[in-house]
Amino acid sequence: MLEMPSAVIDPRRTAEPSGAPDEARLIARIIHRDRRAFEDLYRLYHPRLTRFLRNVVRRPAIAEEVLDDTLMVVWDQAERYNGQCKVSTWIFAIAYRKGLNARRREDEPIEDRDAELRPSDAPGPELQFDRAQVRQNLMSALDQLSSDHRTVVDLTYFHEMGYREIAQIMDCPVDTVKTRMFHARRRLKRALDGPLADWL
Amino acid sequence: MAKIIALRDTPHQAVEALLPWYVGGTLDADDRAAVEAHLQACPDCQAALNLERRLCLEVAALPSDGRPDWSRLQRRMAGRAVRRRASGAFAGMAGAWRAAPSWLGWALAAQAALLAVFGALALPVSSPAYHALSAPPAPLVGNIIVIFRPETRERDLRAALLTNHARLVDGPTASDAYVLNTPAAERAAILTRLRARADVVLAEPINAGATP
Ligand SMILES: [Zn+2]
Repeated sequence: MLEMPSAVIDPRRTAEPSGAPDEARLIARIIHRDRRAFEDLYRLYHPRLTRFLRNVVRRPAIAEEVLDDTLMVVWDQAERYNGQCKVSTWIFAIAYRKGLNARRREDEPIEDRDAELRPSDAPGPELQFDRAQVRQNLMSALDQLSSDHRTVVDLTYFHEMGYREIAQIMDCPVDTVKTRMFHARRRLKRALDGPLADWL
Repeated sequence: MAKIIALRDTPHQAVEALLPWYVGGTLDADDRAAVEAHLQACPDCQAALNLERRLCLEVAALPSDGRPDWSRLQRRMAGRAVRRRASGAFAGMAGAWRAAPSWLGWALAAQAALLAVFGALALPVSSPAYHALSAPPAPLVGNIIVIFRPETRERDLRAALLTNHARLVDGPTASDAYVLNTPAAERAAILTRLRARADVVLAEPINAGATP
């Protein structure tokens, strides 16, 4: 069970996989148990995965734990990366699955179905010109979204991923991604400009 | 699933739903063409696009925190290395190790004492300063992994390291293993000496810094 599968590089993978070729090269070296390559990958992914996982699970300590678990999967099973998608899609998908499992251990409900129905607690327009306040509103609005909504928002805006890639990572239909984004934006925009700017 | 709005009822709704990825530049050519064609004719979507850009910038600018802790992951890797070897050629030894219930129950006090010993040696490989530097000095590389019997006294443990010119790189790991750095030329001899000790459960070579 703990035995590693033998690290043999798949000859099919000599063709450049889609996505960042540097990251695919790192994976190839990791298959050969190259610790330096793994450390490089860790440092490359730590900031991105930390941010991503803080949206999936609430508690920073659990996010850290999931992050380490994710990278241990990469270390132990790098040969499972088949080059069919970007390295980042593969790693984020592992992190998301592990994050979901961890989330079930947390108190938070899996999906916040009522998020759209609750009034936003964004302050009135008199505060809207204060940049720090805008940021504060936005963070509190993000905080009120369900994990899934928040995750889609951050994958789109911060990680600059397309809806198909997000659907792959979250293992859901593309329409679900679009719908989550649609609902999330409506609430976030309200936070951005206050109740007066109810654009949607 | 949450309530699904029919995003594709009209071109307007379909395009509106795509605006976040239009702003992010991740749409494929067909989607992008559809968005651009609709934008020219729809003032609502033009206005929504402006707000979309602001939202994207604001969210992307939100701070993210968390510091990498490579040493923590290294400890887990060292634990894996031990288990891998234990499940293979050294199955007999590992069997003995698993059979000893005291092993898992190694008292926290004993661990704290060991940590104190190694703290005194002051040889951690990964200091916070190391992580903060973009061009770090070459780290101390572990080339031996060793597991002592749980009842081993700290004096004996220290002696085992000192007499073998071994420096502590990491440990105790989750599986109570220690990663040591020894002079490469002496490694084989040191391994033999360690394995001969009654208080050593397992001593194995590792190639922590190996590159292909
Ligand atoms: Zn429109």
